[in-house]
Amino acid sequence: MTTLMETFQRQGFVFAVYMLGNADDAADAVQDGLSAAWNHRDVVRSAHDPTAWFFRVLRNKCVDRLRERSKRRTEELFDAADQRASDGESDAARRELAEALRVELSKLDPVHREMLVLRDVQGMSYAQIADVLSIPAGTVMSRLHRARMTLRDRLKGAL
Amino acid sequence: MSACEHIEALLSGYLDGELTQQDRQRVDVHLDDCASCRQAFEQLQRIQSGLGSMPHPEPTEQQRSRMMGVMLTKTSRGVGWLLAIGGAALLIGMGVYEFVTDESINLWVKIGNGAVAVAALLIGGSVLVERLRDRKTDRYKDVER
Ligand SMILES: [Zn+2]
Repeated sequence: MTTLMETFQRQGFVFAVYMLGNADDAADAVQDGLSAAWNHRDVVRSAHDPTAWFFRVLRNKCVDRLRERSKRRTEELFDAADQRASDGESDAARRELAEALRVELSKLDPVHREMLVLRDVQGMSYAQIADVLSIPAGTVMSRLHRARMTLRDRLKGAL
Repeated sequence: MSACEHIEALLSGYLDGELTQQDRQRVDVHLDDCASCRQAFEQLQRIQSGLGSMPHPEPTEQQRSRMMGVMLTKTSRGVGWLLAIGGAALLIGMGVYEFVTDESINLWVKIGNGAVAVAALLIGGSVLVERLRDRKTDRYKDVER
């Protein structure tokens, strides 16, 4: 269970930072999620996909927080993440795209942002995403596609 | 819906390898001779690889220990209760032993005290049993509150 908690913490933090745009809020949300997982550890251990279980809880914690502060922007993180990304990046065009992606991702509707973070940043399968969001697999495909197309329209110049 | 619109809707599934074989072949065939869908696909590819190489933010040591702390506090609370109950039981046991074996205390005083202690145990015990029964039948035990 401790190993599982470590994994939840690591992956959950990445998701929460992208969703909430701020490391402190992300840590709060993950802490709540981990606390729920620890309290229900018997349920978690016997779940067929413990990671999906955890993400389902964490995602709801994030949605609650987004709802609470509905209008605060998500730029803080994207500044911090920015510096780290540019360190190893040599190709200027790539760097420009990475920067544009970061900005546009933060401005995206959270419903679309979560799709892109779960799939493209964290590499989950459609089935796993469907499990996390409690939606049919077919909806994952169409919603994800709409998210990517929105991003594409806004990024036109950088692509 | 035009052929292109139809194919365009499948491009994300195609990119992720999540299409049925039949749909995948349809996209393959279409992309071979439609430059505009091919361009759209390449743009989606660039978005995906761009997102895939975004940094994975890591917490500070302080944030990390705060997050992982949920295990520590719960465990140490359990150990704490165990120690407290064990210690109290030991003290009470010693007190009772001394009291009972002390020959300077009148037998009737011992009997009276014994009766009070038994009564307290009975009342405490019945409350405990009730609590445990409630807990067992609490349907919302596993539901997050
Ligand atoms: Zn076409």
